[in-house]
Parts: sequence; C-alpha cells; structure tokens
Amino acid sequence: MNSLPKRIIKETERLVKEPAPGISATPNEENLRYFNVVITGPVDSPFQGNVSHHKSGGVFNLELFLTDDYPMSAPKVRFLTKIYHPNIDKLGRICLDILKDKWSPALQIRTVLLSIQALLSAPNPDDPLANDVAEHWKSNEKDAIQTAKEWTRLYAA
Amino acid sequence: MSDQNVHNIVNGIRFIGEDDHEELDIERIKFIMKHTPTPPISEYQFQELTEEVIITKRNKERIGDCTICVNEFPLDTEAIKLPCKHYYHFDCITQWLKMHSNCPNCRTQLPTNNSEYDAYSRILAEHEKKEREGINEDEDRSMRRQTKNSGMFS
Repeated sequence: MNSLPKRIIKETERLVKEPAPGISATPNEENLRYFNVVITGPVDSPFQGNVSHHKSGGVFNLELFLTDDYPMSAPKVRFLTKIYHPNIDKLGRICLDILKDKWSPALQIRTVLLSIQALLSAPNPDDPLANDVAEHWKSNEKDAIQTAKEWTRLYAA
Repeated sequence: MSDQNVHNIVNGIRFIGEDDHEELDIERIKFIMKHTPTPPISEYQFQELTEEVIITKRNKERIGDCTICVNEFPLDTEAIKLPCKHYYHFDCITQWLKMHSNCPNCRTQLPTNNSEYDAYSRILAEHEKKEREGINEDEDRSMRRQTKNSGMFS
C-alpha cells in the first residue's frame, strides 16, 4: 500500500480518540482512505431517532473516501442509508458547497461531517439536488417533514 | 479576452449600474462566478504578494501549524505568509495555488492569471461592501428626497 500522508493518520487518530457528538468515522482495515461513517439524526430534525423507543431510527450510514489528491480536493462522501432530504438524491449524493467549489484544504474530515450533520438540521430546498423532494418541501413543508420522518423510521433504524 | 475588452465590460457594467438594471447584472455575475472554478494565481503575483518568514522561537507559537498538511513549521525554516497573514509551507500552498487563488483559511481572493475573473471578483466585492453599508445610504437618500420634497429651499 502507498504510504499514508501524515495528515490522514493524524485526522484518523483524532476522529477515533475524540469523536464529534453524533458522528463516528471508522477507517476500513484494508484501505485506510475509506471510512465507514455513522451520523445520528440531529435532535429536533425529522431525522432524529424516536427518543422514547430505544434503538429506533435516526442512524445514517455514509461512506467517505479520500482520493490521492486529498487535501487538495474534497473527500468523496455519500449516504448509504435512504434519506428524504432536498439536498440529498436517490443515490445518496450530497449537495453541499464545501464538497464542491467551496472546498478548502484547511477543512478536515471532521468539519465536513459536522457540516453534513448541520445540513440535516437545516434542509435548503432553494438549492436542491433532489428536485421532487425540494418541490414537496416548498409546496407543503409540513407534509414533506412527515415523509422524512417516515423514511427515517423505515430506513434509518 | 484582452484587457481592453475587460475594461469595457467593467465600465459598461458600472454605467448600467447607475440605473435600475444594477440588480440584474449583479445576479448575472454572481451566477457566472458561482459556476467558474477559481483560476490559479499567476507566478508573478505569487512572488509579489507573498513573504518568506523565518520561523524563530519568538514567532513559532503565534504562527501555529500549517493547516494544509497539519504539520508544524520547524525552527529556522521558512514559512510562506499570504497578504491575509496566514502561513503555509511553500510546497503546501503552491500546490493549492496551482489550481486556486484564495487563502485556504479565510478564502481571501488573490489576483489570478485571468483578468476577467478578477474584474468580476472586484465588482462582487464592491457590491457586497455597498450592501453592508446599504442601510445608511438608503437613509441618506430618503433624507435628501424628503428635504427636496418639503420645499424647504424653494
């Protein structure tokens, strides 16, 4: 295997030792550039788990990959768990500026995952990736949130 | 595109900006800029704008680590200081500025090798500055209008 840049080793150590609340990132044993990520749906969002029922809902699996040119280019991140969100499409791709043109090498895996967690709390239907979901969000927000909760219960258990 | 053309475009926009079309043109520039990757900084500009700073016991703590590679700056080596006062290893920052033209830490835009891009950046920056100061300006204007309409001086 190619030697891993010191930056990736440092970031990984810190992610494992001092995980951010509601976020875990575990490197794959065979490929230390590939991470299994778990984000817990933020409280007071339609993606939060059912508080009264222990272990039900609100746990989202993602994959994160650091390409050879990381940190000059953003990590590749995708939701593996189905989610009803205007900025996340059917394939789990995420519409977030810092993953695209607003990437900066001063950002890290941790800051990226915190931004994704924040996106769950603040969906932005005006800059959509999943158009049908965004339309639903804009025309009937209450109903869209209900669907998002339903999907959380069904798929994010 | 030649510098003269860019100059004309910029002046044209400023001219149009005097009337009600201003918002439309700003929206167009915002849209174009949103979809244009930042061009690299020119080598000449890099030399002109950056400063080499020797790391000493006195400045080491204040300067901190390089946020690109997250490694420290060893004593007696050189760090590159951008105009916004952020420091990087030479190899780290030149690799970033080959494809981009902003500071990784604060996103301050540096001049690029593309004068059209720079002209648009300047217009947007000016517009944002105006927007921030906008409230005061509007108050000024309405004050003036009131004075005019009240016929105080007629």
